[in-house]
Amino acid sequence: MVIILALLATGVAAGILGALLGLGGGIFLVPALALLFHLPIHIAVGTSLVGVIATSAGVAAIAPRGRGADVSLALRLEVLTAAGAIAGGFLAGVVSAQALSILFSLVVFFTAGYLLYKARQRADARAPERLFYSNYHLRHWPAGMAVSSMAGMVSGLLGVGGGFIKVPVMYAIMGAPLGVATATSNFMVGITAAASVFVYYGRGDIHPLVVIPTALGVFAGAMLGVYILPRLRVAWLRLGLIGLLVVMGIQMLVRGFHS
Amino acid sequence: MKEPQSELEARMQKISLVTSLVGLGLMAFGFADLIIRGDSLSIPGMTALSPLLIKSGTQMSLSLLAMSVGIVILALLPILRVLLALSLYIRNRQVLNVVVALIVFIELLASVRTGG
Repeated sequence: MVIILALLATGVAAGILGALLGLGGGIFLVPALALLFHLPIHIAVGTSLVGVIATSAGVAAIAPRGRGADVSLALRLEVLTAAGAIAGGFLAGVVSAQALSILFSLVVFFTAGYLLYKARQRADARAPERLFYSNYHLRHWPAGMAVSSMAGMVSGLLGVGGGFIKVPVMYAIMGAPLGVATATSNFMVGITAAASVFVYYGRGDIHPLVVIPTALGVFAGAMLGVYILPRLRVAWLRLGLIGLLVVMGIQMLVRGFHS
Repeated sequence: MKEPQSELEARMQKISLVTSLVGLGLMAFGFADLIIRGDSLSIPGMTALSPLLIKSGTQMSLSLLAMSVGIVILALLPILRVLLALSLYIRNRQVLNVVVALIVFIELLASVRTGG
């Protein structure tokens, strides 16, 4: 019973962090499930994909009106992203657990770098940036779609939503406002995860005793994250998280080389 | 490029809330039944029932059935959201968006079929 409560608490933490930082939460769930609960990485990835869908659903269910996703943009990018996710789901079945652990640690380091970049960018900003506005013009579609399809592949392989790739692509490359990019990414991570979760389901990597406490925790955590977002200094949270990701990345790397 | 989002946004919010509550409710019910019956809670435990087995109506434990159906419902939610966008685009005759949403919907259906 203790382990079930621990899974629930892990889910809540991942849901809160996912909602606060505009990520799916998988980047925290997979290493937590693999390192803390000693689950095989394929089960951790399958569980995480359900968790990512729960984060996306939890945020979408209570997000304030007028702060929603650009659905048209999301679906256009998803044409290649979902295909990448399905391919990634199949590929995960033939890639060894060690290789997945090493690949995951690299993605974790990349995410830490992205969060650090975001933190520095905000610190350098002289005027507060408008997060939401409607008269924006999207550009660089081919680059956006190409990078987004890679995000799908990473998602299917590693059980992450890929928000850490999608948000910068839409914001920095395609020119969407940051708030719109984050909301659109949240919409997309659910679809991307759904594209590969059934591959894991069919392969027998979805275990209700692990998935259910985690998903319930993630859903509650995501809703809580949306609620506490305006009351929190996200900069400190982000810095703490970068440290945590670096530690987890090193552990996954060590595990990949020594297992 | 950007459609009036308000109607779509409101419907997406509603469908997200209702579907996830139904899915999570079923999962919680099945899990509670498992605990009440005193079954082993060691992880990772049994795997979820395959959608084909669920459809076949084979005799199986109520808790595992409820948990598996709950997981499938939650996993289907993003597909429902795409379907909702598709229906709205069809109604508004936004041809390019209809084509794009249809492609994504077919990709998702293909992945469900593969997993099933």
